[in-house]
Amino acid sequence: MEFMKKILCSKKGCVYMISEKIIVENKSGLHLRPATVFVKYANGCKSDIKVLYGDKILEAKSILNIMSAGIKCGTEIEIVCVGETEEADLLTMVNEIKNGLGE
Amino acid sequence: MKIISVKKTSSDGIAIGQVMVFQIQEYIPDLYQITKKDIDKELTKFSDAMDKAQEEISILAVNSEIFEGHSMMVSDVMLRNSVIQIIREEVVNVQIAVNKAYMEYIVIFQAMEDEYLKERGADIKDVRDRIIRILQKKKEVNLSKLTQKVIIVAKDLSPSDTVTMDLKHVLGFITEEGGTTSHVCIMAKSIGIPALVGVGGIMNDIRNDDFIVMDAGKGTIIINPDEATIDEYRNLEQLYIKSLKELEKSETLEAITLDGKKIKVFGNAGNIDDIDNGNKHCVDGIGLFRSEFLYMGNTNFPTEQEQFEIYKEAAEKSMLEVTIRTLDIGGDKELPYFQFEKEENPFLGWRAIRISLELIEVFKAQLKAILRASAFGHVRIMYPMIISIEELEQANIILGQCKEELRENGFEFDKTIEVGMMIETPSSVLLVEEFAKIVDFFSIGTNDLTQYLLAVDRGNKKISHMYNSYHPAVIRAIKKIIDAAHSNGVSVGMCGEFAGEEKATQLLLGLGLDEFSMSVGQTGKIKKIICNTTLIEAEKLAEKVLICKKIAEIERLLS
Repeated sequence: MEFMKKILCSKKGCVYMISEKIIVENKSGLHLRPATVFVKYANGCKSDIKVLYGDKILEAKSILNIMSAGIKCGTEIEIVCVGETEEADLLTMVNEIKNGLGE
Repeated sequence: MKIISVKKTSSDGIAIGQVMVFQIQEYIPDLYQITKKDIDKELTKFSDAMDKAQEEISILAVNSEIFEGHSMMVSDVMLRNSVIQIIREEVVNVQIAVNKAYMEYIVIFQAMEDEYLKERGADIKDVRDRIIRILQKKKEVNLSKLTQKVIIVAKDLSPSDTVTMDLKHVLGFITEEGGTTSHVCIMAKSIGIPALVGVGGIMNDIRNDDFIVMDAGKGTIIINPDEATIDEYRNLEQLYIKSLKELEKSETLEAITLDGKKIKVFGNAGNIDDIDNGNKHCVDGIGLFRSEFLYMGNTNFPTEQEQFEIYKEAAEKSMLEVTIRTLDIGGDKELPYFQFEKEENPFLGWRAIRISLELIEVFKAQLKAILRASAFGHVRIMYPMIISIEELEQANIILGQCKEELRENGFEFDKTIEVGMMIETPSSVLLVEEFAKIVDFFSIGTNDLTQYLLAVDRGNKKISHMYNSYHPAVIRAIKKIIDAAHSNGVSVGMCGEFAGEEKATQLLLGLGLDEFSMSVGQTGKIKKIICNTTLIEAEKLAEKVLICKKIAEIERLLS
């Protein structure tokens, strides 16, 4: 997380960001259908959104980036949002994951 | 004539006809060079092409999840930035840049172990091909306008190919590449067109306009068959089509013997989709609702509420009734959230009711969820793997506590809910008269019963041929169970595979079975047999079978 803060600080010049850890509960992990739903919601958010998965930093708005990461059921990911609407956006993303991403 | 045998079959059916070899279009990027001043022009070409691609795909995406995924790939922000970066930094034309950017992802996906994700590489290829085709200003070449009925043979078929195909003229497919999760398979299965995939070398063996016969169910392709073979297959094709139609009709029958005994023909279900499927096949109800999926596809033990929502849906969707079996799992399956101890012999180990009686809170969560669901439909509770009266009594005491607790908290449930057990262990067979006095129903689990009675591990290749439910010991056990049950006013069902075996139906009717529960696709066949049997004939058959001492004698009587 410290590392993450530094990257965003140097790019955006701001100190604030907001994040939350959550477990992916979809039976198929983030495969095509739930990944599509996930990325759609991310693209609907104004903030810059990243997903921390293990030691990878993924672009939440990129379907290929998310799918190719092969996120399995039961794994913990961290969602990071940076932007004016970051709080609302984080809430949206976390809720959609909890609701099962359409599964 | 040449005969080819294929191992990977993905759908049934026979096709006889002329081959059309479909050459997949290779979209190779043009190699024209550019200079720095052309960069902006190339970027504009890129953005125009992406818009056009998105236009084409959104029309297809209306009815197709696959193309919704393609649409997102086209708008993928990282991919676009990658292409733009390559054009700017490497000063290459837009087609080369698109190819390079997409290839990076195609390689990543094709290297994945997970078969499903690997196949998604084909989706990315399809999008790349579309963009390059648009940049090259070429028209789409596809199978949307066929003039005669053909069997399509190709190296592979992309999602775009399969979606735009003129299905009225397609008799079947054969592809050289592709696995059973490929688009061709999924589509062929859902429309019911015979398909064979992964047929290595087929492009070398078959030429355009060859006349062939393919049997997708058996995995046979015959190139340029002689007259006799063609006639043989035309007959098989007619029989197959006829049997499909009859099956559909039989499913809607009410299962009543010629002399008027009504029999319940139920389906076995492993999840809610199976119930929906069962209803499509007109099952009378669900004779076995396996609850394991709630525990297996999960990150923790399922809560009472999670389970309640599923059981409620099951209760609402099932026709006459649904029998929910409590957790029937053991050390042979892994649960990510629970560490089972290593067992030498998990099938004789800590499993099923034994787990429930020890992890009481887990058991109560399940029982309460089932009880609450019973307010929404006709639900029955069934305990698996019972070997002693003590176990049954203990389970019922816990059930009683659950009822009390629900009552205190104001939850509605069926106060007269029926409670029964699986008969699948030798001890439950020998004590069946005692069990019959304290349950509302039995369900015979022939799969496990046969294994335990004959002491044969079905999974052991060396002796698996010895596993046989037609063994006189199994048949006599079934008779004993049904007799004890009926003398105590208890009904008997069967949910093992034996219930769905056509050869066994008359025998089981004659032994007195009240309810048959089987995998959904079999119900039509079994209902048809029941409707064409008299109970009197069936009982006579059963008497003869019960005198047999050897498997061969029994099988002869039933053939």
